Amino acid sequence: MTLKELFKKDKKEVDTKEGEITYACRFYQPNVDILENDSEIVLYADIPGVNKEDVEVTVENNTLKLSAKIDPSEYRDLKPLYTEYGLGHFTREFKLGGKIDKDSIVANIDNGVLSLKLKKSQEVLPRRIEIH
Amino acid sequence: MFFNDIFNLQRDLDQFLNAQISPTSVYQTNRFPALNLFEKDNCLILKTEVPGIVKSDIKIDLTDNVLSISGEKKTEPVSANYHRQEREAGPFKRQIELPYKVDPEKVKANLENGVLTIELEKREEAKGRQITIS
Repeated sequence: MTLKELFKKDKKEVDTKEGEITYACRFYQPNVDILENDSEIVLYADIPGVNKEDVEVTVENNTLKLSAKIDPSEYRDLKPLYTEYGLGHFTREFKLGGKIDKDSIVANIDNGVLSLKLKKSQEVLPRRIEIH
Repeated sequence: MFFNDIFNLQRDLDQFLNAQISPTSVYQTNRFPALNLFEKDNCLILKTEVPGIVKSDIKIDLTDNVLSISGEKKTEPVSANYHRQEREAGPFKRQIELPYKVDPEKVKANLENGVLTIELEKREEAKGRQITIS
């Protein structure tokens, strides 16, 4: 038995040719801005370095969850000389108020910024009452 | 990745020190945008996170071995009704002294998904060469 086989038995080696490779990576909370206007609540989250298809937005039990994953593989061959920010995925959760129409959330990503438009539900929209 | 730990430690330490020196405001202006400098073969690779800034709002200058990045992140109109404001905005300028001279003709800059990547190649005379003993 060669040394390599022994190690393989001891710890399962990941076959780099096929199958999914996962990287240990830290998760960060993205910075967000939340704005409100008459008809909707708009949320902007900074998620630099994330491709559109690696963003997941879910709503479950009044909790809005953002999850965005970066691709760390491009950093593999780079030697860091001076670093100021950490690399990692992004995740953050928000509790939604009851007055949001959960079925009409519009998500968009542009230049590393995820924007979510949360429409207020019909019953809380201000309405003008006509005087007859 | 082995340098994750370095990153994490550095960020934690920075956050701690920054919080001690200047209490964090809504904008956290202390170091915006943050830079990471890497090396690969004979290239320097500078990466910076500039989410929400369009290409035309970023200016990159190279003088000798000093690289400066300036620009502006547009803000929402003041009348906007904010519930929470954590993202940095406004004009910025950062300068970084590169560890060696680079070839100004071979600088490549690319903005993708809010990450600006600048690739700078070492100038010919700055490249190391092996000396054989005669």
